[in-house]
Amino acid sequence: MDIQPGIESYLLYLDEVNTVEITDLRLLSGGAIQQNWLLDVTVNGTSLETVLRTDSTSSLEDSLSRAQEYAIFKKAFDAGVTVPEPLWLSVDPQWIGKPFFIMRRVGGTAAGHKIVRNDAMGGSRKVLASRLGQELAHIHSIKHGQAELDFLALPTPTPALHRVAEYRAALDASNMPQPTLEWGLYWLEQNAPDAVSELVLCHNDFRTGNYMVTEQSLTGVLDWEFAAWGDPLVDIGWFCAKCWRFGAVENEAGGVSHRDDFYDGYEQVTGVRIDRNAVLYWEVMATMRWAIIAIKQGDRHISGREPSLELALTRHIVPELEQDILNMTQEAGNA
Amino acid sequence: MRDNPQADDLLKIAEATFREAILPHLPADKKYTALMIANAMRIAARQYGCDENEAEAEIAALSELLGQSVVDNDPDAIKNLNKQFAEAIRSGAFASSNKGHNKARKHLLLCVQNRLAEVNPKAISEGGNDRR
Repeated sequence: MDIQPGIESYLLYLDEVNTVEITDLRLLSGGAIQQNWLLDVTVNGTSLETVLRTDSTSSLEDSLSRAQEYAIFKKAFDAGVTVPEPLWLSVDPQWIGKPFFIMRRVGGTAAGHKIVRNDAMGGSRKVLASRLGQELAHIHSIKHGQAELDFLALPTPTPALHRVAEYRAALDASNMPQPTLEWGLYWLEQNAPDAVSELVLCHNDFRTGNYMVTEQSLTGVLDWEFAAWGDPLVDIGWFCAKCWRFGAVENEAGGVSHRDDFYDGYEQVTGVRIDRNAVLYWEVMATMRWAIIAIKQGDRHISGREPSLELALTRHIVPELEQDILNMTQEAGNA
Repeated sequence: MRDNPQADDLLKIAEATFREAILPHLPADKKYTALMIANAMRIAARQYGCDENEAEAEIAALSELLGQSVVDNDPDAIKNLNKQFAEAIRSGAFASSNKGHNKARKHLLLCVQNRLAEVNPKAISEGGNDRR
């Protein structure tokens, strides 16, 4: 579908816009859940480099709508998180047939396998990991109770047990029994921490591959469609989990640097020490979550709904995650 | 009787040829897709070459863990036993305080590593854990 006429019409419909000239519009690669379009446009004589984000042909039932994602972008931007500045949102299907929003484009790369192999990204490994810790702390400064974000899910009865129930339901909905994942879920149930005293905004996909970075600095935290209220350690476990180090397993902070560099950045902003011993639990949870997502993605291919080599191969990362779960739960003991 | 070369051999030589003769000449934006194709062919070739006895060994191990005998030639035996095993784990029958815990974990690790041998043999961890 040619979306250019619809975007031009939409921008001209805005009160503040008098003239529009689109100089470049291209679909960017990647994005199984949403589409990102490069959009260069001159508005009222000013050139803007932007990205237009809209729904893909497929969507995950537990991800946020574009309008909700836009509200989070605005909230995060106002809280001092480095995100691309959100500019306009439309939920009216008359323009391009589906909701979309437009945000400023930020420079750099998000390619995880490149970032973990380049010592100079973000200034240096240490600087980048510390900066990522600071960014996450700014995200977690947004506490539960914000009216603009009242659509976000609340975990019940606790953040940990909410996830255990969700993942068991996902396994029940899948066709094949998964005894190793059941093993991990039993451990997660038996070792679940108590509810936190204050729920915070969790990004829920804060990892290498989901931020943009140049050799100078981090330029933007991306991919907010899974954000929800939760335990801050959820994001810390997800960021540090072995499955998100892109092969650079020795650099436990997202394949970028040492864990302590990341923790130091986080603690500088929050002033609260991260409980080191509590993070392992959430790394097991992170590994479990990725395995559940991989099974769901594989099922989309296997069912014939969405034949895709990428989805088919994603299904085959599950055994590696299962091995990690067996190893980590053995290391931690109990249950 | 089929003529040789058969599936695993054909897939192996097709993958090798694809990697050597086609992949280097593709533009950068097609490399990722091409590598996925080569990887899928490699997994398929390994699966063709896998040991059929593994399924029988898995059935025998599950029967022992669950304490039940299996009907001969039941085509769904492996799935049904794994379903029962999964349910038993969820109910806590293999908790660390229970007798079968270590045996069950060992079985799970073996099965996982057998599957890894097909899809990503480099990822098999030796003697447990490479973390921390």
